[in-house]
Amino acid sequence: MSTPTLRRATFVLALLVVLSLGLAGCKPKATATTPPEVEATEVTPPEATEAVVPPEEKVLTIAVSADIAGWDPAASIYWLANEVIINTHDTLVDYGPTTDAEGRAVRDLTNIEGRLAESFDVSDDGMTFTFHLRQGAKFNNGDPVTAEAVKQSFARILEVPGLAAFLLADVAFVRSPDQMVAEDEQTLTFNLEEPNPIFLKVLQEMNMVVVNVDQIESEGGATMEEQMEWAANHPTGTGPYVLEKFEAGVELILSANPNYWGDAPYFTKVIYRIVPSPENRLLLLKSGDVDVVYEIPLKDFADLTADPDIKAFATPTYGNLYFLLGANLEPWTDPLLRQAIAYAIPYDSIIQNVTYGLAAAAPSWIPVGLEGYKPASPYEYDLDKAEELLAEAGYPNGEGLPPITFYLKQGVPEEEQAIVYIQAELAKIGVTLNIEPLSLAAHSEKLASHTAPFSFNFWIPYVPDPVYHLYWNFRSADTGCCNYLSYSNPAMDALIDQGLHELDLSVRNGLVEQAQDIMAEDVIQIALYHPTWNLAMRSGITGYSYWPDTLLRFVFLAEE
Amino acid sequence: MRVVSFILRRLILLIPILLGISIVTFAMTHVLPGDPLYILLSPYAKEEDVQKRRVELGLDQPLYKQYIIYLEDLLQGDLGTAYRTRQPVTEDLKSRFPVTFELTTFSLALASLVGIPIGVQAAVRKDTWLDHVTRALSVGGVSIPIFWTGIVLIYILYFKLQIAPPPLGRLDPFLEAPRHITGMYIFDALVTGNGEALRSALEHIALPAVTLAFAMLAPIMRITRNSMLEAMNSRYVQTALALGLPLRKVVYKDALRNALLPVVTSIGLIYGWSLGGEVLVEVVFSWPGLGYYAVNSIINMDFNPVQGFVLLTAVIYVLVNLIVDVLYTVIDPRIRI
Repeated sequence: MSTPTLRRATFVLALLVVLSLGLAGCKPKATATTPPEVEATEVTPPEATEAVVPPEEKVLTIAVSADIAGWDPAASIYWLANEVIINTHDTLVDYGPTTDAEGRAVRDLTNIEGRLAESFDVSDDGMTFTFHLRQGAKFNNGDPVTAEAVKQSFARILEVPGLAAFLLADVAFVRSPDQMVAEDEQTLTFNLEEPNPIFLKVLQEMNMVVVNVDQIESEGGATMEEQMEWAANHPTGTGPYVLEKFEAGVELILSANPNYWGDAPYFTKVIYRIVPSPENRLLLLKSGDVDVVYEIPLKDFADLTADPDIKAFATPTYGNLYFLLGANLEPWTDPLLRQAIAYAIPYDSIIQNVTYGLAAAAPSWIPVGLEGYKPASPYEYDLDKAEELLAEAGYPNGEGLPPITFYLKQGVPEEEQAIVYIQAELAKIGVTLNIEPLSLAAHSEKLASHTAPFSFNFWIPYVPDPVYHLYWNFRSADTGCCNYLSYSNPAMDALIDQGLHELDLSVRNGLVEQAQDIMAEDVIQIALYHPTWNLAMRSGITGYSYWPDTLLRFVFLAEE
Repeated sequence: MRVVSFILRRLILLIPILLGISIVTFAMTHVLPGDPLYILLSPYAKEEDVQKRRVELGLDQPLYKQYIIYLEDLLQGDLGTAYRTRQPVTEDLKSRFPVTFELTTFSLALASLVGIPIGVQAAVRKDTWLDHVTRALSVGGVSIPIFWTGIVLIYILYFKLQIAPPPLGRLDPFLEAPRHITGMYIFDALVTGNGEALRSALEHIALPAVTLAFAMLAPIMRITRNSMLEAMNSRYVQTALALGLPLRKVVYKDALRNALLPVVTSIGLIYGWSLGGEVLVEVVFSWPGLGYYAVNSIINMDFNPVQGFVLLTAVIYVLVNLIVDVLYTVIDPRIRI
């Protein structure tokens, strides 16, 4: 008997002993008859064998917090579902590897490489993109990947309503299937009607993976609704893994795709186990029962880095947590009042105390690290300045200002704590802020209908590009994401529209810089910080690199 | 025959009850603030897409029409599809109910087998050390939060001593589940004679069951003790003891039988309430039951799973109470139904 087997047998035995003691011990004046051990050994299964893992299988186990269902790339919006999608499908292109200033493995946004497309050509006018597909690439059911199949996959994205269709049509400018031409079996050309500097970056986004439309149509059913239902449960991609098993609420197993065009991945199986309790996820990682854990509570991160058996990664993201400053609500339509609030936010102490230092300062409205970023924000924690601005706006010491109602999304500890810090500082300058907690769904609805003038939103651009970021956050819009205060500034709109088409990088960066200066003045929102993306794994696992979409690519992981 | 007609009558009563509950839950889930479409389509969705999807899902119809559509599907056993995961709710509930049922039944059996004898003894030996220990246990069971008991058990038995299996659900990883009969692994493994699965299932259920049983133990012990005290002080027991009948016989044959009614009632209540899923235990032990599913659905404003869950819970509650009522007649033949 091996040691773990022995331990487990002991455990069952001990349990039965406790049970029998519990019963036997209570009989009145129980004259103990049989020693309970004898009873127990009879019940123990005679051959308690360990579950056998085939020796050739290399298994990577990941503990995640919640369900992972819904893998239709054209419709998916859940982060974990996206991770399953990116590992079972391929995008045409991807970012090449690099290391950042701190030596962390990250992706190089300026170096786009072929993935399912072996190579690609871009015309000088930025309007024609030709992709040469990999020879011999196959879908996971064995169908060949032809230019026609890839075209159909993109055509399908345009038909399924949602973020993916929007990205392809309005950000990549592919508005109709007619704009895609299959030149031959392996060559697909996109003909745009306008120049597009970020076309390739959009194609790298995980919603743009290639699916097997023939299979979806033949096996999914007659109607679009049936096909979407089917596709949500059946990944049909070309990626390094295929879905082997999914048991809702329990686990999801990926196994290596025998038809994969690239080198076979080191890990032949990847198992997601659903472990809702964060404490348990960490215990499981520390004991080695799981290999990777995401969503590490920030307070536990330092503790993990001290453990020699564990590698913990914290990589700054292009995302930010921003504070909406009520620009669509009287009297906060006055920029001076919004500037006053921006000076009353204790940025550093929020980073230190709320995120335990696991976040980076966000000194602009463009994420640090994107092209054209400059530290444009004059705002730092300065209550004197804040008081001056209040007086200038006609509300000395906050007198006459109505109380602020802040809509708080429940369940995110960082946001719950950060607003309490801000509330305390605002109180010092005479501004009252009342916190109204909302459920996730109610909060989303409030934001989308632009009826939450004061709130937080966490935003991470899936296409890491400054103009894309400006487009969502600051371009005129009456509803929807993410210009939640209906900000409308013709100068800003003009900059964004020009930026979406500007091929000259230095001109484009100039536009981005101007946009940041406008925001420094208008300050309709202010970023509190850029969070880091955190995960921890057993120290033997190698090959981790951070992607801007935060998703882990298992094909690059190995074990020492 | 009388019992059969009683059961039938009660089952027929289920229909108006379910109808009422479905109306209330339908109205509540649809009237509460929060539009599921923004969660369904991501916050990035454009307004046109949101409206288009709203029409596709029939969420633009007046509420009463939506309810009629829901009711028609319900009559065919279709509880709708979860918007978020695109899984049919009926399937979700079918796969999760046995999981909760197994854990709850196991825990309740454990709590009753331990709690009733201890409660009896605490009453018989009132004000002795046993009575005091029982009282301390009850106070503990009621006041210690259930997730904390679970976390402490996991920390000590799994992480420190490494005798319990990892809190990763119901079976060892890589172990095939026993052939599906009921979805309850212990039962299925017993029926199919799958010793390995049985061992693993027992190991995995041990800690969550003990955790849950600890919380269930307190009310069972207290009610048994109080009810027994009353019985022990009654004249028939005093007479029996005065006649020199053995204490043990008097306690278990006469007193306990009379004291059992409130105990059975309270066990029935605990059972009905726990079968709705013990969210905290399920979260702590990664136990894929009903409670965690329902809570997740509520957070995401996913109407169909929430409605399906409430209906299922209602049916369970009615059935458990029915069983309790029938049990009354067994325990006390004077009760007629």
